[in-house]
Amino acid sequence: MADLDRLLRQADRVRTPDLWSDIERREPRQPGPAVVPRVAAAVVALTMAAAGFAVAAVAFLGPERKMAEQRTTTPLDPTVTAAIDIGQFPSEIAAGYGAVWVTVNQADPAERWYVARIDPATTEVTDEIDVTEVHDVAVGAGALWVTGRDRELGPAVFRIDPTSRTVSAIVPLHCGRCHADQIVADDRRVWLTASVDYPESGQVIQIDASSNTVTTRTTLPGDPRDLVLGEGSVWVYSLTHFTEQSVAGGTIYRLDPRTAELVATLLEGRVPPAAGINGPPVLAAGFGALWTSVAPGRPIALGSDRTAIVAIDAATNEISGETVPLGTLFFPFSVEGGGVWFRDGDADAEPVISRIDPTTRTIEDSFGVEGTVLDGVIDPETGTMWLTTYEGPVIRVDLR
Amino acid sequence: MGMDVRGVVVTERVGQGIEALYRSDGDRLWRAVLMYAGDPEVASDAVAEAFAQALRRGDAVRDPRRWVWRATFRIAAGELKERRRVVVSADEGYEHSELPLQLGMALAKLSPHQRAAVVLHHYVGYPVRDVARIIGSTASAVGVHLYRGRRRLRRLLEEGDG
Repeated sequence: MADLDRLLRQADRVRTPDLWSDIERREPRQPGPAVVPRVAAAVVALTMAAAGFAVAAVAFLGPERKMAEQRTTTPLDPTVTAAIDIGQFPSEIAAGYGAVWVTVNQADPAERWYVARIDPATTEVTDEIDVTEVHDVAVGAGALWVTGRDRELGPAVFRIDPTSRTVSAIVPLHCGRCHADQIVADDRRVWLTASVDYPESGQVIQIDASSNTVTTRTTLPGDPRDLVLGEGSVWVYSLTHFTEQSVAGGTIYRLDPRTAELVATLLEGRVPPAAGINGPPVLAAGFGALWTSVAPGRPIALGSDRTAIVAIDAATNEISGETVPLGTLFFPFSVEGGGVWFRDGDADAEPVISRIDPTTRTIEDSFGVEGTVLDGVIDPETGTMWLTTYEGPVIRVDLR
Repeated sequence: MGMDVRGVVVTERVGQGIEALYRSDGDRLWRAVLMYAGDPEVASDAVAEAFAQALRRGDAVRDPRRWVWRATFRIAAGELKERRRVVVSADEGYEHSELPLQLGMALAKLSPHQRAAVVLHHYVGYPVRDVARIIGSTASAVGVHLYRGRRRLRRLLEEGDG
C-alpha cells in the first residue's frame, strides 16, 4: 500500500491551472447529475419499487406454479448456518479432502495471500497456507492446485498437499507476463486459463498431475477466463468481443481433454461477460449439457430481460430444451445435489441463490444472501453449500 | 444582492460558496480527473464545466462538494467517450498527460472504472461508498474495481522493480 500511495502521490507534482475566471464566464453546455428533490425522489423510488415488485411477483409466480406441477427434484430448505470471518478478501472456494479451501488476499496493513482451510465440522479455520499470490483453487489428483505467481518463477501453479497443508511443488507456466486465472482438476490432470496477450489471445494450459509438468498449451482467441470439466470435455469461456470501453460478450470453446484440441466454438460473442473478482463462474457442466447464458445484441445489454439460461447438449453442441428467461446475469457454480446452482443479479449486486431443475428447467429453492457472493461450492462429502462474499465472511448453507 | 452569471441570478452567498469550494477542492479534483482521463484538456474542461453548472444551479444543489465531484467525473467520462480517447490497451494514451512517466504508464494499464476507483479512494481519500456515488456505481462494484486495480498496480510496481 505504501508503494501505491507513493505512486499516486507523484500526481501532486503536476501543476494545476486556475480555472476560476473560465468558470465564471462559462456558458454551461451539458446536463449534470439531476437535482431531484428528496420527496420527488422518494415517490419515484416507491413507484419503481412497486413496479419492480409486481414484475418480480409475476416472474416468480410463473415458475413457482410450474414447479408445483412438474418438479422432479426433492424440495430443499436452504438455511444459512454459519458465517466465518477468514480474512479481508476471500475469493475462490473449493471443497475436498475433508475440508473447504478458500483463497484469501489480505491487503491491509501488509500484503498477504494464502489459502485458508476450514473444517466443515467445526466451521473453524484450521490452517492458513501462504502462497506468494493466489488467484484460484481446485481439488483433484490428491492435491490442491492454486493458480498464482511466484516471486522468482513468475506465473505458476502451486501444488498443496492437503494432509501436510504445505506447498509440495511449484509448476512454472513459462508464459511471460501472463495472468494465470481459473483452474480445474480431475484425478490425473489440471487445466487452467491464462491471459497471455490481452485481449487478443490466451491459453488453456494442461498440467500432468503425476509429473507436475505442463503438457499442452492451447491458444484461444480473446481472454480465456472461466473453465469447467465435465461431460467428457473441457469447456472454456473467453472474452472475445469488445467495445471501445468494455467487454461486449464472450464465446465458449470446447476442448478434447485427451488431445487438448479445439473441437467446437459455441455461442460466439453471445455469452454475457463476467465481471468481478477473478471473473465469477459462467459455466457449469452436468446432466448431459453445458449450462450458461446468452443475451442478444452486441454489445450485450446487461440486465436485459432477454438474458436467458441455456443448456448446450454435449452430444450435439446445440442448444437443447427450453431456454429460461432470467433477466440478470447467470453465475452457475455447482451441479451437485440434483440441479444447477447459480447466483443471479447484476455482477456485484446482493444476489439470490437458486437451483434450476435440469429436467423441467424451473427455478427453485431460491434464497437471498447478504453481501456480494463471489464463488460457491457444494461439498460432496457433507452436502453443504459454501459461499465466499466480497470483503465478508464465508457462508455455510445447509440445504436440507 | 446577486451577481449575473450568464443571465442567471445567483446569490452572492452561493457564488462565494462555489468559489470557496473551487479554491479548496479544485486542484485535487483536477489532478484526480487528469489521472482518470490522462488528458489535461479533458480535466480542465470537466472541472470548469461542473463548477459552471453548479454556479448556475445555485441553491438547487444541496451538497455542492458531492455534486461537483460527481458531475466532473461524469462529464469527463462523457468527454472521453465522445473523443474516443478511452485507453483500452496497455501503453496507449497518457503520453501527453503531464503526469510523471511511471504513474502515467501504470494508470494506462487500468480500466476506466479501476482508474476512477483507485484515484478517488487512494489518492483523494474518499470512502468506497462515496466513490460509488461519484462514479454512479455500487459500493460492492467499486470494491471489485479497487481490488483488481490495486492488484494490477502492485504487479506493475513489482515488474518495475525487477
